[in-house]
Formats: sequence, structure tokens, C-alpha cells
Amino acid sequence: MTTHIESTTQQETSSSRGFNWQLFLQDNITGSWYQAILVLALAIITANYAVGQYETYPVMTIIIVAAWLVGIVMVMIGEGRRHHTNFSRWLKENLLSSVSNILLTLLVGLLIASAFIGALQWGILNATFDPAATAPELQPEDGATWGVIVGARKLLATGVLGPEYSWRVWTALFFILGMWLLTYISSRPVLKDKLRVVRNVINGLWLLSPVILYIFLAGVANAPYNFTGALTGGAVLLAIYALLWWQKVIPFRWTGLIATVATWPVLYTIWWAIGNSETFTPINVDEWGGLLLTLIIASSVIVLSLPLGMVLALARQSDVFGIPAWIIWPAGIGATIWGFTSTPELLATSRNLVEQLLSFWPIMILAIAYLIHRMFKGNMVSGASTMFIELIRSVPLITLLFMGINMAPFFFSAGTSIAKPWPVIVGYTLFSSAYMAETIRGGLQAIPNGQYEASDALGFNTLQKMRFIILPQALRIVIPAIVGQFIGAFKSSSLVSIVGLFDFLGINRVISSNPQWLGLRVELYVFMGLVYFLGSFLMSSYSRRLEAQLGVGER
Amino acid sequence: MTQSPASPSAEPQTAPLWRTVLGYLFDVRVLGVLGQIGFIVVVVFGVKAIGVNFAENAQKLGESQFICRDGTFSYRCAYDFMESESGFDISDTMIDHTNTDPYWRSFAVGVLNTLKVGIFGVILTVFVGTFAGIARLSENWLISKLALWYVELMRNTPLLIQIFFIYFGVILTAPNLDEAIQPLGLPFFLSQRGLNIPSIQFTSSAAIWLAFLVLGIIQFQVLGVILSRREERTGQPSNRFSTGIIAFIIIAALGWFVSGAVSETQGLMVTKGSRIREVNDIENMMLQRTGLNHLDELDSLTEDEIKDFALQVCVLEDSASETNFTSQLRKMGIPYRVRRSDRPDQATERYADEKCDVFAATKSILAAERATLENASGHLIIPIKENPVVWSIPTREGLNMVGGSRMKPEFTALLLALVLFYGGTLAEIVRAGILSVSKGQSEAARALGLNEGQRLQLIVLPQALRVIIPPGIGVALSLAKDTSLGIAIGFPDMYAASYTIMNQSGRVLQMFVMIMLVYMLISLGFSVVLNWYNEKIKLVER
Amino acid sequence: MEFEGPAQSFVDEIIIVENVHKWFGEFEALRGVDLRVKPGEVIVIIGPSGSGKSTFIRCLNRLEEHQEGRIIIDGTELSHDIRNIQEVRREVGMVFQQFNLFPHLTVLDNIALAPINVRNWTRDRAEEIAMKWLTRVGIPEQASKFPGQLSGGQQQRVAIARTLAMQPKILLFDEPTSALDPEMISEVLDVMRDLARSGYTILAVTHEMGFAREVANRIIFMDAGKIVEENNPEDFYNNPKEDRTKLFLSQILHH
Repeated sequence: MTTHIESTTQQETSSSRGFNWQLFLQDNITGSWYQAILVLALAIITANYAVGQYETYPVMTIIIVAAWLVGIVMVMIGEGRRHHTNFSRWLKENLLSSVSNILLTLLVGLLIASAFIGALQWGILNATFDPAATAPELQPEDGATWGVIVGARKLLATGVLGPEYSWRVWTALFFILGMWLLTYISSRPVLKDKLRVVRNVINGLWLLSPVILYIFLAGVANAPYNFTGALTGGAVLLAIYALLWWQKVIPFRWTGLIATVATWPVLYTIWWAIGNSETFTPINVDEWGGLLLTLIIASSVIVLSLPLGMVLALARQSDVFGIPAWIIWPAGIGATIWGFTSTPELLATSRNLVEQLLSFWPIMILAIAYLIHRMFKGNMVSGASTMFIELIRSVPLITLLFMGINMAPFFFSAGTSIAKPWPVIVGYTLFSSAYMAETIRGGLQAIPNGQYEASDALGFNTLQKMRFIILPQALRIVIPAIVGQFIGAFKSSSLVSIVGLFDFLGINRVISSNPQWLGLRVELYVFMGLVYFLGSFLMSSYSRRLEAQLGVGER
Repeated sequence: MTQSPASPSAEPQTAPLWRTVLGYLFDVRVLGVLGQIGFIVVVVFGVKAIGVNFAENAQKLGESQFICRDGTFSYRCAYDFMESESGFDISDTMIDHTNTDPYWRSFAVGVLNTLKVGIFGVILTVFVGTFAGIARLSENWLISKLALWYVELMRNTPLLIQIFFIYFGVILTAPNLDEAIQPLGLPFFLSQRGLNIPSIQFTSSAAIWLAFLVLGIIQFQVLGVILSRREERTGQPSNRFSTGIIAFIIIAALGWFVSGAVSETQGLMVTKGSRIREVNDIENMMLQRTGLNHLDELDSLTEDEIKDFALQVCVLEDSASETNFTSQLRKMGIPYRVRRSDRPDQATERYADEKCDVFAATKSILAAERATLENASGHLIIPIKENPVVWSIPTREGLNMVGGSRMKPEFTALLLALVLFYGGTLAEIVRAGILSVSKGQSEAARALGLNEGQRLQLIVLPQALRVIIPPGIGVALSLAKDTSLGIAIGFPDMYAASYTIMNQSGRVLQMFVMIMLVYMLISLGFSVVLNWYNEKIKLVER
Repeated sequence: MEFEGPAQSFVDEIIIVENVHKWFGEFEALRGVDLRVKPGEVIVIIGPSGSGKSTFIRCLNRLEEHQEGRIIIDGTELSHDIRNIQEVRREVGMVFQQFNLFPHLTVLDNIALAPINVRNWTRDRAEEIAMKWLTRVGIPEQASKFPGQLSGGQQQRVAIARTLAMQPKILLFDEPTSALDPEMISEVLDVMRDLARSGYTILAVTHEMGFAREVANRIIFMDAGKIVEENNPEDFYNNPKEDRTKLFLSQILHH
């Protein structure tokens, strides 16, 4: 790189004294032996390639070579007159700065053009667009059959979900879009302060939106009212409120207390009432498919893995006073000795070398004690979290998805059948939260020690310190990484097609085996790739905007 | 306003017993231990609550599955089923596998396939990623934009779609083998049946040459130490690296000739009547057969005539002897046709039927085979020159490809997709690494009078690598894990093999334990490397 | 007014330090430190770097944990008892070398956050008092800015206001001027002088001689984890008792 920079500056100085051929040759070709070889090789390859392209696409090749020559001439004229127009300067600096770059430009230009023409021929010139004419005998030989995308739009959107439910999907879609719109409008600077109440309502709706969407998309069964459930939920909320108040994370207010405790029973009653009215009858969740399933899985995983990841990260980073060595070692050694009482019998009945070695399993207890003592300093909270995260991170996602599906029946009493999306979401959430935990931990570690010390010195307790000082800063730092994780979760949700779900990618199996669209795979892959690309691209550009807004990096 | 406890004396008085006990309860150490005990209790009860059905079901399952050979139930027999016959075939194997092999062998085939994709994938990704990362920084607008779009495309579409696209859209729509695509005239052939690439084959003298190479590497290290000592003593800079490389090349070249000369394992079986006593006699034989004065005149003959006159060579399928001998024949300009047989006795039969002029193989095989011939004394075994390592290059022969090695379509698609995808990821890491070396560093290096090579080698690369390598190892680990996606297009990696075993034997728990263990070992390996590297960096920092 | 001076203390000696030892692994940072401080006393601690002076004052509010000896702050002994630690931290304010302001909060929130959540004041009262302290340190107009927008001297003054808003009895200064540009040192020292005169008990690690001579009741010289010399400012600078002190003074004075 720097060689180029140097050579351009030299060229400029030389051009001010008139063009110097010797200097030009030295800079570009004869400067060193490897440069000469490089330029020569490049020239040969480019020439070869251009000739090859001329045979396949003569017109295109002629146009590109002509444009290339015109560009060179323009730059040469500019050099000769010692004055560049804007365009010729741009050409000189970006495309034609040295002999090797001139050659590379032609080579890459031809490459791009031929790829473009190939894509154009396949995608448009030789393609058919009629949704009715997609049967195998009507498919063009060297072109795409785009009709399939329109023809199979229902399958692509919602899979095999029955048409009687489509109004619920639409409502859900409009609900989410409406929420986005409202949020956007109410966060405009003009309205920000006036609409405080509205904004609180919107935030509450966002909190409830998973439940609302669940009601739309999965439905509520008609079930008898569960009083104990309603009361237990209220009690749990009361306990959480009490804990937060006791640790002074939230101030005590009667209104707040009542609102918190009442939330669960009220919501449950509404839920029960909806079930009772049978407006939203339960949908067989296995019928979810297409883009709908992809979005459901991706957003559930995203929503669930953030808090779970936060808990895991805080647990891993926790500095609770560890169990001291004088407890760990006696307990560990005692357990080991107790374990060894089984060894003689195991050894006597062992059938091969592996089993003989396994007879000495109590050594593992010592190893674990050592691990707890040395690696985690007796901190079981951090140890358990670390082990969980590392275990999950070491296996591929697909293992967890398969495990979810294959092991789910183990967790229920015999005969209970469980719809496939749920175990997949659980497995995927575990996977995603382990990565999320590492991302957030990165943010926690980026907070300077002084912030912790200042909070301690001011008398904050641990919960307050995390809530008011550390987490707000840490989360802000890792927003780009979290959005990256979201994009990853969105993209990787396509893996559920391997375990037999008919998500946006998996629905392809249904479509391309239908006699009407037999064998149309590549068109669908291109279309799906495009959809995923747009989704990810939008998310990442939104994250860049968010980053700029929050001023990440400016402290 | 908070009042401090109104104790007039600064010395706290001895507290009553109950206060001391209460005080211990508020001791952070006691609280910590109590909290952790509480945590363990919660975890245990939580697991128990979720796992009560699990334990019951697993117990039931275990009783039907943990069966020893004598039919009794025992936990130690959980993996006894691995000994039973697998009953399925695997399409792409590195070690022999038939459907009568036990399950563990199928599993091993899968593990080897996973490693194969992983290792080749990582190596190729390093090249692609480095290349694309540097291209991102190119001052050529076209190249940097092309690299940018490549990276964006890879980053924003799911890997699985890319795998499907490459498998269904590129590999399976490629032409048949006889019209295979050959890019730029290089010996690579892409067809529906996969990718044929050149491969290297080792003759038996390769061991000797490898010993020389090891010697060369040792020499490189030793010379480095000696030269650096001398540098320190005399203060005269010496070009350690170049000197070492030159010495290495000399030793390697020496080894090449020595191993060829010392080892004489390759041989050729000919009839006494052919009057071939050494390899060069073949030329005379050909001249006699064609009636030409010189082999250069072969051009005057028609293709069919050449085919008739060609030397008929019998060899064993996939043997290094073929590659070794035919490369010599090509050098001598002798036209030849090869007949390949699976087993030595088949080749011998052909030779005995006079379908071939010569039989090329290792001397030991030839000696054993000559003994089986009726007229053993009527045949000679003559030595031929051998190179320790020979290139086997794929060539078209009718509807087939011979030589080289063939990558199955599934393997090709998976490898290609993984390399392209992670190449994009690595490109961004490489770019960030190079950009992280501040301009000041380069300027300082130039101010010190270092030349370009020294600047890259001593200043820029070490600093960029320090930024690149830790996330780079993460990329390698992700790639290794994502080889499991091969199951989507039917590549028999460890995951796919385990899945088939699972379906056939019903041993779900056991197979998941195996899968997790193997992946954990792989991750552990990577993290050991990463930690080792981080430690090394730390030392340098001090 | 209540915020102008420290809360009154009812003990004779507000800080009692007896034979305190502190190890970092194998390294012994404090080797038996003894100190008694009366309410309202101003003490300046100086010493070469690595002498344990920072470690010592960080032990006083348990940012570091001492392993031997005892520390009693305003009648409360610092032990592992979590109640005592919280109690002491409420009474002891600390100002850091690197300010350690919370970058995600405005200046006003920086000051008001702890009184609201630790002292349980209402937001209005906390903000009112925060504004009064900001006025006292001379930058009330910066209340709604973020720390990143202030100069170093201003940031340190906000940090002092933040500490004072908690109404501590004891103030610890850990090299408050070392990270400042020379022209900003005086604005911080002015505030510190002001505080010293209003009756706060102050322990300051600083090499600012002018400040020490003017307001300190005692100067403590620490070296290698021990208190080497304890003297009034006049005698300390003009005729130190210990050779080690003389050497150190000659080093800092001749530079």
C-alpha cells in the first residue's frame, strides 16, 4: 500500500517538471524484480482473459476495453497538460494509479461484467415470469422461472397454516407495524415531552406484545379458571417488588405496589376470558411455516436470550465471596474416599481397559474440587454460569436444536406430544443466550474499575451499582454487538429447517417437490437470500444509526 | 442527618453474645457461602423439578437400551450397541467402510470427515480471508468495492442458504464429467460429480526425503540460533531468514536426489522377448514398432495409428507407480495407454494374456506376481527411477477422469460454502487488524530507516497479527462447528453419521453424549491454542 | 445551613487505625500502620510512589480489605460485617485521581443519584442540594452537561460536589490534582482549602506543598508501607527528623 502512496507522490513531483518516462518505468515496472514479474504475469493473465471473453461476449468485451482505453487516454492527457479534470483525477487516483492497477482494473472489470451478463441472462433475458407456467416442461432451460415466487407466495409467507387463520396473522402483522409507527412518532423530539403518558402506554404494550402476539398466533384454549395460579403469580410479583424495594432499586409507592401485584391476576383473568369466549381458538403450532415461523422463532429467541444472557453474564462476573478452601478440600477429599469404596467391586467386574480406568472415577471429584478452588476461587455462581456458557458455546447450534426435538419427550410424562417449534425455541434460546452472555460480559469488562470504586465509595449496594451505574454503560457499549447477535439469530433461524421445520428456508422442500413447481430450487434460494439480505442489512444500518445517536465511544 | 452511634469511647465495647452471632450472619464471607449454598439448592431443586420426568423416562429408556451382550441390564453396557453391525453405507469415506462394519467405525468415518472439512476449510479460509481483507483496503476502487460487496453478501445471508445454493445451483447444475469445466486451463475439473483436483502421491522413498526435510527444519532453527549469537557478538547484521531458507532448499534438493537414488522399490515387469533391459530401451522398441527414425516424427502419424502403437501399461488402481512411470514416459515422449486393475492378480492376468507390454508396480508386488506366472524365467523385473513424491494430475479418459483425487459434490459444496462464508468473516478481521496498526507505527519504522520488507516483517505484521489471531481462532472454531451443516446436503460428517446411528439403533442419549464430547474436545483444543497465544502476547507486552 | 459543614461527630477520635497490615498476594503493601485522627483535623499524606499511601486511604472505606489490625471509623469498626461497611461508606466520602464521574449521567444526576438511592431523599430535595453544592464549587451553570463535556478541573470539582452531597464526616482525597493540567490545579485546591476550613475531617494524599503548609494540621510521610514521620507542616518541611524524609524532600524540591 505504502509503496503506492510513495510512488504517486513521486509521480506528482515528476509531472510538475514534465513527464519523466524513466521515472515512470522505474516506479511501475522496473523498480524491483518481483514488481516486474508481477506486472508481466498480470498482463499475460489479463490479455488471456480478455481474449477468452471476446470469444463468448464480443460486444461487451469491446465496450469495456474501449472504455478502459478512453480512461487511460484521459489520464494521459491530464498528465501531459499537467492539469486534471475532476473526472480524470478520480480515474487516476482510484482506477489507474499504476501499471498494475490499470491491468487489474481491466481484469476485474471484465470479470464483473461477465458475471453480470450471466446473471442478467439467467435472471431476466431467458427467464419466465408467468406464475401459471411453472411446470417442469415449461421451465426455460438456461433461465429462471420466477413465477414460482408469486405462485407459492402463501406457502412462503405462512406455510401450511389454514386459510381460516390468515386474518389473525394479518392482525398480528398490523399490530406490530402499528406499534413501530406509534413508537417512532412518539419519540420525535417535538412530541417527546408532551406525550409522556402515551409513551408509557406504548412501553407497556411493548412489554405485553409477546403475550398479545401469542394470543393472535397460537390462540388460547378454553380452560377452567385457576385461582391458585392467579394468586401464586401475584405473590411472586409481590416478592420481586419487595426484594427490589428492600435493595433500594425502586422506591416504595402504594400505587406501584398495587399495580405490580395486581398485574398477574388481571392479565390472567383477561387471558381466561379470551379463552372462554373462543375468539382465538388454539392453532396447531406445527402448522406454522414460511416467513411467519422464521420471524416467530427469531424474535422469540431474540427477546428471551437478552435477559437470560444478562443474568448469565452477571453471574459469571459475580464476585461473591467464594467457598473457602478449608471447606472445599475436606468435603472433596471426603467424597473421594467415599467414592473409592466402590472401586474394588467395579475393578473386579470390569470387562476392558476403559472400564478399568473408569473404576477410578472418584479422582474426578478431586479434579472438580481443584477446578472450583483454583479457577473459580470457590465461587459456585460464577463457576456454574461459566461451565454452562462454555459447554453451550462448544457445540454447534444444530446439536441443540436436535437435542431439543429428540430430548423434549423425556421431559414430559409418557404420551404427551409436544409441538416442534417449542423445543426448538428453547434449544435455540439456550444457545443464543450463552453467546449473548459473552457479549454483555465484554461490555461489563469494558467498564473501568473506577466506576465500580466510585459507586462503592458512594455507598451503593450491589444491585443498585449494577442497575444505575454499570449496566446502563455496559449495554450501551455492546449495542452494536447485540444487534449483530440479533442478525445472527435471524439468519441462523434457517437452521431449524434441518430439524424438519418448514420455516422460510424449509418450506422450499414443500414447494420444489410440488408437481406444479417441480425442481425449482435455485430461484427460491435466490429469493430467500435476498429477503434475508434485506432483513439483515436493514437491521445493521439501524444499528449504525442507533450507535451514532447514542454516541457510543464518546465518553 | 445520620447520627453516629453515640458511644463516648472510641473503643467499641465487648458486645453481648447474641450480637456477636448476629454479626457473623452479616459477615460478607458467611453471606457469600450461604448465598452459594442457597444457589446450589435452587439449582438442584430446579433441575429436579424439570428433570423428574426426565429421570423417569431416561431410566425406562435405559432399561431397554443399556443391555449387555448376554441380555442383562447394566449401565456399563450403555455403549455396547456400538459393536453391532451398522447396516448402512456411507458415500464419502476416508477409511474403508461397509454396511457390515460396527457402529463405532461409522462414527469414526464421520469424525474423520468432519476433521477433513474442518482442516481443509480452515486452511483455505485463511487464504480467502487474507486475500479479501487486503482487497478491501486496495486503492483500486473496483477491487475494494468488489471485496466490500462480497463481504456484505456473505455476512447478510444465512450460511445454510449459501450451502444449498452452491450445492443445487452450482455443483448439481454443472455439466457432466465429460464436459467438465476447466478454469483457465488449470488441471481442475468441475462437474456434477464433484471437483477433480491434482493430488500428490508418495512412493516408498518419500520417507527418506521427509527425513531430509525434517533435517532441513532442524538446521533452520540451529542456524538461526548460531547466526543470532554471532550477530550479538559481532554486531554485524546477517540475513538469518534468507540464509536458513537457502540452506533448507539445498538440503531438500539433496534429499530429493539421494532418496531417488538410494531407494529402488519401483519396478517394471517385461518379457525377455521384448528386449527391454532398462527404461531407455522402451524408446528403441517404440521406434521399431512404428518404423520411425525418431520419436519426434510421431506427429506424422494419425491419432488412431498412435493409439495402436502406444505402449500398453498395466498398473494397479490408484498406485503411485502409475504416476511415477507415466511421468517418465511423458518426458521421453512415448505414447502410452494405461490399463488399471483393482487387484495385483487381475493385472498379472492381463499381462499374461499379453494385453500389456509392461506391468508397472513396486518390486515386491512384481516379484510375488512373477512367481505365479507359468513361465517365470521368461520375464524380467527391471528397476525404474523413482521420485519420492509424484504429482497425480486428473486427465480425461473417455467418459471418465483418471488420476488426481475427486472431491464428492457434497464435500465440494460444503467446503466451498464454508470457505466463502468464513472468508468474508475473516476478511473483516484482517482488515481491522491491518487498520489497527496506526500510521505512526509505520512512520516511526521509516524514520528508523527500516526498509519496506523489514517494516512489514518487524513492525506491521506482528502488531496486526496480535489483533487478528484471537478472533481468527474464533472463526476457525465456528467453521469447525458449522461443518455439522453438511447434514443438510447429505455430507456424511460426524453429525450425519451419528444421526443415522441414532435413527437405526434408537440410542439418542448415548449418541448426543458422544457428539457433545467430540465437539467439546475440538473446542478445548482451540481454546488451548488461543490461551497459549494470549499468554505469549502478554509476555511480549512486558 | 446544614450542607455547609460536616455533621457533628460525638467521638474523640473519628479515625482509629491500629497496626494495619495489607498484603497483595506475596507483596506486603502496609506493614503496621497506626494513626489517630480527631474530628476536624486535616492530614496530608505524602510519600514516594508505591509507598502504600493510596492503599492506606482506600482501606479506610474498604475499597481495599486489610488483613490484620483494626480500623475504626466514627465508632464503627471495619470488619467483614456488611452493615458496618455500608455504615462507614455513608460517612466517608472519597475523591479519586481520575474523577470517576459516571459518564452516562448529567452532572446533576451524578450528584443526586447517591442521595436519592442511598440516603432515600426525594428527587427534589436531592437536586436542590446538588445545585447548592455545584454553586459552592463554582460551576452551577454546568448542571445539565455530561461529564465528557467538562474540563478536568471542572470534572474534579463535580466529583467533590458529588462526594459532599452525601454529607460525609470524613473526606478522603486520593491524589486529586495529579491527573490535572497545571492551570486547573488551583481551582480544585481552592475548593479543598474551603472545605478544610469548614471543619471536615480530611485525609489527602497529595504533593501540593502550598496546600499542605496552609491547611494541614499534620503531615504524614509514608515509605514502604510504614509511617516514617508525622509532624506539623512547619517542622516537616523545614527540619524533618528522619533521614528518609530529608532525602525525599530534597528529591521533590529540587525538581
